[in-house]
Amino acid sequence: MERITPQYKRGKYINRKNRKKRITILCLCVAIVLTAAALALVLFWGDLFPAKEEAAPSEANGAAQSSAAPTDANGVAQTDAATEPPEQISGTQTAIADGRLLLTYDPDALALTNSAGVTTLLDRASGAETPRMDIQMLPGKLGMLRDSEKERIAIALMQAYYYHPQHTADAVLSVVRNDKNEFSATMQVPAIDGAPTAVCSVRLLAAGDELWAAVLLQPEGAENPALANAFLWLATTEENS
Amino acid sequence: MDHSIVRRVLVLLLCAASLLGFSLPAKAETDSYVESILESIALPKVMGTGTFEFEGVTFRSLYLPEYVIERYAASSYAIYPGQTDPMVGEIKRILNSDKSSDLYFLENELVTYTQIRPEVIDYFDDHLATLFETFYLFFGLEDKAPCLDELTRYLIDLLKDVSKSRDNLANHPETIAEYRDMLHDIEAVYKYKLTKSGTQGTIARSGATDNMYYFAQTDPDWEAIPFEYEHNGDTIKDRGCGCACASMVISTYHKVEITPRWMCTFAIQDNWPVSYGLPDEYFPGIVDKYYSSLETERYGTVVHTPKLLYKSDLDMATLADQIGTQGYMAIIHVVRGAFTSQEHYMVLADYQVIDGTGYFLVADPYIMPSRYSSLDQLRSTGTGNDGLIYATADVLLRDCKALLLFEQDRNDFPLFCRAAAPQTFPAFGG
Repeated sequence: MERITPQYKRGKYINRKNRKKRITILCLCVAIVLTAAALALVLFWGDLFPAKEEAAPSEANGAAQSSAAPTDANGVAQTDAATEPPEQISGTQTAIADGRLLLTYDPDALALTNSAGVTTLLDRASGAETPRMDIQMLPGKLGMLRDSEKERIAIALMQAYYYHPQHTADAVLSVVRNDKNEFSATMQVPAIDGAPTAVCSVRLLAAGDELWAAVLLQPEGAENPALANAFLWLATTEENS
Repeated sequence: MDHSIVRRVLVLLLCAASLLGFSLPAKAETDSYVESILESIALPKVMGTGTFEFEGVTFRSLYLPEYVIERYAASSYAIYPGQTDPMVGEIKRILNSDKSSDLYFLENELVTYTQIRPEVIDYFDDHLATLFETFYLFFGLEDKAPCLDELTRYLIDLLKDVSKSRDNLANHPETIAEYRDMLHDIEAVYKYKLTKSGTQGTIARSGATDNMYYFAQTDPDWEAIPFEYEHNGDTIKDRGCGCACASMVISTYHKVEITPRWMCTFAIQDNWPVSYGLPDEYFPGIVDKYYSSLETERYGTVVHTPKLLYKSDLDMATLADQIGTQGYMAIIHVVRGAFTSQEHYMVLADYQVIDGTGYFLVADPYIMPSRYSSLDQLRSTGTGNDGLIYATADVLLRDCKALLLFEQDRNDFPLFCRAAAPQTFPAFGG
């Protein structure tokens, strides 16, 4: 015969007596758990489920500044010229990045090189290192990135041109386009460390499952329209098919 | 009943906490996802000079990506100058230059012997603070206050990996060759800063900076080392005053710690000892043979042969000007008098006028102030170092037998840049 301990008997007695009270407490606890879970989801929603698709930014959104850079009225302006590619240019159309991207450029004006996974366009006549355009693949997916992360990557791409990246903190970033296929931004970088003021434009392109970055660096006084055209006409092959 | 409810509530709260816990790794994973993208970005580095100016000399910067600075913007720890922490000791061991036991920086004196003695190894001394400031300067972080935090630790790891280490000697000699000039530039700027700020020299066992290279023959680290004459059983403590004085002066001119052990070794090796210790000729002898160009390649420093002057040749006013104004140093050979009952060597390290009276700063290698026969013309320095004492020109001249004059400025430091181009570390695709 099973032995009934005094504790057991006492518990049964109390349970019967306070069943209602226990149910209330349990409900409260469940409510606490659900609240905590909801809080956790709200706090880290973006991390757990990054936005798969984001709407194209409005003009106001386009003015988003990097956290490192204060808002600047001049940097905010989003012009049609900045978003719309110029009229189709004549030139050579080359598939690069294993056929993922189509690069259209003027081979008489620009020299194309490829080194260590980076495709570079330089001014053919001067042979100078700037102005320039670089295209490289990044190990990620555009759809997995939050807006702030895209901006951070754009800033890092700009800083990669500087010997003293920590001195570029005053650069002003303006978002030009932000949708599922592309994130693009321009940055005005003040003169630092002997380098002149420069405009750095970045395009993050989703090409299939890959993320490609194109960067156009134009120091003040050395702007190259042929490079600007090549930058703006760079497209994924999916867009052109 | 009460206990049962409490238990259940606790279980439910733990469940809630665990839900939050699931989210935290997800956030960390997202950060590392973005960081992996940042790390893959090619570094053309075509804008700017990659240089900085220090004391009129152009030096090459060390490249540091911004994502590294962001990664360590908030450190889980920070240790500041004046504090004591085992982590300081760990860093000092990595940076120190003891060739017999070290794994890294075999060719650089970034942390010295006196900084890693047991009494002070965990102490964040002034020299270490200056060294960190120098690191920051080269990495473009000149506004950062010296402290041991995650970023500083990261910088040290970068430097460590390209230093002349045992591993690099065995496996990557090309790395040593590539980064040697850069490490020498850091080292030279660091030593220059110490020299010009007047904080160069040894670290006392109290952790205080001696503000000069001071070595005592009575130091327990080497006082018992045999330094015999005709097998008389003597030690450095008994008759090593000359060795200690040579250590102080040559260390000062070359900006490195050369302990009396070395001076003793060379003295015996070259058969210098005499009945009363060492002859005056020992000093020019070892300078010419071993030490004139010891650190010329690293720092550009030289030690010229000292001039031997006898008591009759001395003009104390001229000597005061040479030592006080022109930065000369001298080793004085004294006989029985205020400082000793026999014969003794001491260093004249400075000259100052205090309360209207001129005093030479005497670095006495034998620490035992009670043996001074009279304090009439002596004065305490108040530095806490009992080996340092002020003495008037009169008392020094009275007891002097000879003097070795080093006719060169102890604060001279020919600063120049060795690296030909800005450096990027292998971690950043250098």
